[in-house]
Amino acid sequence: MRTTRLALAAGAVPLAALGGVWALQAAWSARLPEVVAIHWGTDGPDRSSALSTLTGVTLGIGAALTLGTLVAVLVSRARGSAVPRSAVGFTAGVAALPAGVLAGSMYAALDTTSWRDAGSAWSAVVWALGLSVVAGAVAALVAGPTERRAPAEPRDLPSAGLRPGERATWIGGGTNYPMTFGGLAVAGGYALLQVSLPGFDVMPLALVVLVVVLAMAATCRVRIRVDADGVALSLGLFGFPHRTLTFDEIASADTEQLTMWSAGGYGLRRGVGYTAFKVRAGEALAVTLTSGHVVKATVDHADRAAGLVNDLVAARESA
Amino acid sequence: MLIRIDPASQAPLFEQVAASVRRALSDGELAQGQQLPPARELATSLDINVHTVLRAYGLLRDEGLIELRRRRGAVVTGAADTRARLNTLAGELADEARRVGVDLDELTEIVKEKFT
Repeated sequence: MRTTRLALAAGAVPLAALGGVWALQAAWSARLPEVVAIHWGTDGPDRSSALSTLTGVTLGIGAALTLGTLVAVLVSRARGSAVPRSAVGFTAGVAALPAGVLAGSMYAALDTTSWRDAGSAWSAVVWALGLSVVAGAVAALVAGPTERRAPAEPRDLPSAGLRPGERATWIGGGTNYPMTFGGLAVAGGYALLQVSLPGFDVMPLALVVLVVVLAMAATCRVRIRVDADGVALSLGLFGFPHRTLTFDEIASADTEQLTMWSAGGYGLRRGVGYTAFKVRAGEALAVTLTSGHVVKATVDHADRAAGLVNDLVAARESA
Repeated sequence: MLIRIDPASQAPLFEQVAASVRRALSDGELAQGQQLPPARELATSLDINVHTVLRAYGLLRDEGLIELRRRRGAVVTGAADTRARLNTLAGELADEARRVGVDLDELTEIVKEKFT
């Protein structure tokens, strides 16, 4: 039942928005010019597109985003994740945004003969954002309340079996390979476009590509070192941000399973009672501080890291 | 990867470091192409001399478990998991032989017999 509601929220709601705008275009067809404004400057509309092209591009992007959202939600659900209602609403709203953009351009062009006579940009923006927000809200309603998980059974904290007098270190990390290779693909694709299209306008896209690649590089990897000095965490290829937890502030460590939606996304995430160095879904080291705050990091073989942290905490307490 | 050493042990420190890496390989914690921590970082973490770590890495290279590359440091080789498992089993076999009083020649004969 919950899966059906999630599928309706993530798939049917954005599709309904796309279909609704498609129907709106059919209803307004007699009142619309063939070319509509798609961008407004300080002096009014300054860029245009054929309505048929704009329709194809926006509804195509909307359909692709809807499919991506639906697959992500269903895969997360199949993996046992409690997909949050807020995440479903947000992604459905994003998937409906291209339909809103189309609706806004059409509304501004109603009863005009040239795209230069298009109405205010604000009405187009209100349509675009309004449709997105409404679709997101409806999707959140359809998805229903986020399932509350039963608290985990109490269990013994992991241990690495460190004996008195032994010294140990655990060095490891976690890498999001799709993100790493995605960054390379974006940079490579851009370079290919630049080479194959000599008249390509470089700067605007170059900045976007640079930001995307830097963002991916900054959040594609997390690295941890556990030793007698504490737990050192660093994020991304640049090793920033980083944080060192000393054993004075650590109470214990354990492992946790994070889902794609946990902590609200990837990168350095902060929420009530936790900080997460998250680069992927899956197992994570969860270090509980004496303050009750939990620092999480998505690393491979987190149980061994947690075991060593607990052993070093115990060794410090017994010293 | 968990590296542990016992300064009170009779086994040399570099051999203990190498044994930890072998264990990580046989447990699947390290895979082909993965880098080992830089020797300096490992030495600092364990509070031992960097040459001890380099000697351990040299031993693992001689065993065919890792390659030492100028820019990428110590990298796990393709045959490492199989070799590491053999090394671990051989170590356990040697320990058991010592425990029950079988000397090296006798153990070698046993292994030869089994091998053929």
